[in-house]
Amino acid sequence: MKHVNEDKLIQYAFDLLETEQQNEIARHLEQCPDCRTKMEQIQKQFAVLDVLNEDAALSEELIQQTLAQKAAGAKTIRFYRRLWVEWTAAAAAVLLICALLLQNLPDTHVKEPAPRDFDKPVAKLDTKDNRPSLTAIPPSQGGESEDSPPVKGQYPEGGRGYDSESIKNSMGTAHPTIHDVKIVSADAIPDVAPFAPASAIELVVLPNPDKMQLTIYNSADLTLVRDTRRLTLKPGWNWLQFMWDGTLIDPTSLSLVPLQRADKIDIQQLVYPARLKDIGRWLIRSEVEGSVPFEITYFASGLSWRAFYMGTMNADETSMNLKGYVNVANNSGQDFENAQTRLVVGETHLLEEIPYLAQRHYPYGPEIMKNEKGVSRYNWHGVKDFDKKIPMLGDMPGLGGRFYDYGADNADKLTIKQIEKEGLSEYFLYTIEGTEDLPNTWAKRLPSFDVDNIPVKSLYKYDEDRYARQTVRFVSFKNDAEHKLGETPIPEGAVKIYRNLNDMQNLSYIGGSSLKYIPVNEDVELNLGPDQLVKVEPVLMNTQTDNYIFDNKGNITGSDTIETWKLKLTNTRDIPVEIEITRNFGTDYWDIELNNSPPAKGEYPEGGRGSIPTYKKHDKNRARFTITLSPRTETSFAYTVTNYQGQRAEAYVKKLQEQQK
Amino acid sequence: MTQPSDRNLVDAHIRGDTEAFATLLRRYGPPVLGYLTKMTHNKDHAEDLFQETFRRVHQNAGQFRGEHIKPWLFKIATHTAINRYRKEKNTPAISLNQPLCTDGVHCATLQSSLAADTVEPGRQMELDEQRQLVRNSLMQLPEKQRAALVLSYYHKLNHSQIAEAMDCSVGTVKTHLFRALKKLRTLLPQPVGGMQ
Repeated sequence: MKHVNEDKLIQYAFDLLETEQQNEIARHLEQCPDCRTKMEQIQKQFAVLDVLNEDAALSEELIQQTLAQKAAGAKTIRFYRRLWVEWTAAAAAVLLICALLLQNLPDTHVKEPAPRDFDKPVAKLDTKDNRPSLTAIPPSQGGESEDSPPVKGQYPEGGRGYDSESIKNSMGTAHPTIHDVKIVSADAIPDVAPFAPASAIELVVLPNPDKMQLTIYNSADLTLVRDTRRLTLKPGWNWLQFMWDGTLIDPTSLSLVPLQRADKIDIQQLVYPARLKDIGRWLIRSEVEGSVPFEITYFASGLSWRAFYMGTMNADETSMNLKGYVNVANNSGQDFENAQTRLVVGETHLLEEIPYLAQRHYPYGPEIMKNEKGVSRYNWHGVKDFDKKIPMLGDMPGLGGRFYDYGADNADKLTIKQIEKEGLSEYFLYTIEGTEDLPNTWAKRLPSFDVDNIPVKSLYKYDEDRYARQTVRFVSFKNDAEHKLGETPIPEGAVKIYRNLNDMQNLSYIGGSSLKYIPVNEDVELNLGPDQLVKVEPVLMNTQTDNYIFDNKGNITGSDTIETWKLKLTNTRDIPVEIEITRNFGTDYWDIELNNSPPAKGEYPEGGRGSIPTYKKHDKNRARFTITLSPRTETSFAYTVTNYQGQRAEAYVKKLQEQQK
Repeated sequence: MTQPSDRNLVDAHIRGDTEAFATLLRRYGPPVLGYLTKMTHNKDHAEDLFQETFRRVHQNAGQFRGEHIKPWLFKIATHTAINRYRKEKNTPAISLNQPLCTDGVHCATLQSSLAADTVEPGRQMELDEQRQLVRNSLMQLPEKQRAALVLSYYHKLNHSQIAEAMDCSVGTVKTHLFRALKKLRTLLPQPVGGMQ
């Protein structure tokens, strides 16, 4: 009898088959005990599903909440919120849009109770009140700005957000070339600040930033963004809205500072409206009417930079040309256009992780401090030696100032709070000349320096403890003036080393390595990996024991173990090489003797094989030999090592102590 | 005393009787919440979706045709769960096993309400373990398979009702169910006594 397969049985058990098949299997099961057992197994297994066979208890609280939220108001909130998020996400993808909320609040307004209805969706404001403040706003923008957040289909491209073209167009008209501002009397401004609007009353898209500066701290995934924009203020109270949805900025670091007329403009508070994510609104009290440059600063994450190096050694591997590159990548969610880019080398310890801050649901504001003029300012942690002359990579020879110093001549304008902190003094700031466009998800590679003829030293190391039985190649130099470097620390990065084979500039790849951060005057040693062209083969030639010491009963209490090793060295390269061989004897009590008595003239008996091997005690149980091999030679040397055991070891220690005296 | 029928309640609700909706909510809330809890394995999500479901029911009551509201309710719940939950999937989930509250109100929802029955502690632990296992297994099913299985197994909807709730054909429902069961066969423990 043909058995029913498991799939069919499952389908049968849950009535998933056609009636005919269902009946057929039922008949089969009656006759076939095997299939019946199988069927029972299946049913038993699925029976465990019954443990969840209960309905969830519905709490009275949830019932009441559900009954309450079905009211129309709640529905509107949801709609309103979603609309905002959609819109802000689209906007942020193009660029971080700053919007000025021009809420005109003459005295009459203040006396009226401020609108307290948070839940009310974005409302149209009475346009009559707002007319005077709209003078500087282009007609196209002005018309749209009176509306609620844009609804799908309202905009030409995909229907969401402002298209970049309209922003550009608006720039020309929105900001007349003459930035004359009108000063109004402080008395004309109502004392009471307007209530923070929960909805956008009126939006004006600001122009692209006039100036953008990025300072990328690589070690902490941190970028200080400062951008300068002209905002058109009206006298009285102004709301400025800043949105960062879809980007990775730290909302707690937002700061806004007027660059002109600071005595007439007071930035009072930064409000994070309830239930609106990724939006901050500044309340600005202005005695100025017209366009004023502001600087907005904040920390962002997602920007990073890496250094790359390419070293080209000359044919005899005594000097090297080192080229440095910097790769700047932007994954911050924002586009940066025309941004001056500065890179900070060094460790940053003091910061929380920005992506975490950026993705927190609700931000909180930074503390406000007052300067001498009584103008409120937000502070942030700055670079210590900011206003000093900061060495640039461009100061290095061979570059001709590809980078230049930005810090010095702008320091007065930037007015950052300086924090004396020892740990920060190791900062170095590299500024990339000119400005860069860094769209989101783009990366750029820029040359940073190019230094020729750095004297380098090649060394092959053989150390079985560290590199197993193979020789490993190292190239070393120093970050100092003697090596034509030393002006600045060298940032951490990957390095690739090539060798110039001949005058035809044919390159051969030697190896890749990574550079650690190298402070000035520090040695650099690049590990280029194992090399097959230079070989070291230790061979144990002889072992013997000697100098036994017996106690009164005839037991052995001490002896020497004497081993003779031969080291076979092969250099198949066409240049002389220096080899450093480290041998571990596995004991603290040893003596070593080189077997080849070195010839007087410093030459090997057979002539031209290279230098005499020398050795020194490296640490308590290792000795290190160094030897230079001529091109294409094979040679060997031998040594004998004596290990002292038991009482012989004690005698050895005594002998050493006497020698020291 | 006979209970008012679903149809009567919906009609009363459309006419503006506020009590009618509350009655519907109390009548069908527990199965719907149970369904959503099984679908999400996350109490907060489930309650969120529950509110959203009944908001939609409230809004769209006028579109309800027929006598029995249960399949229609499950249809809305399924839509809500699959569409909206998918969007919010990335938010971290809280396991039902962890104590979710201290106020004693929410805790009364699942385990503790059952624990209140006179089950001896050892058996209770075993039950909790089994529940966890079943929940984890269910969560490993794709959403649609999970929905079909939960509706069929726990809520005893027939295939055409599930098809209506899920907006697909009866054949598709059967496919979902079969795949779900096949997967569960590998996930659920083999019964004690094993195969011969």
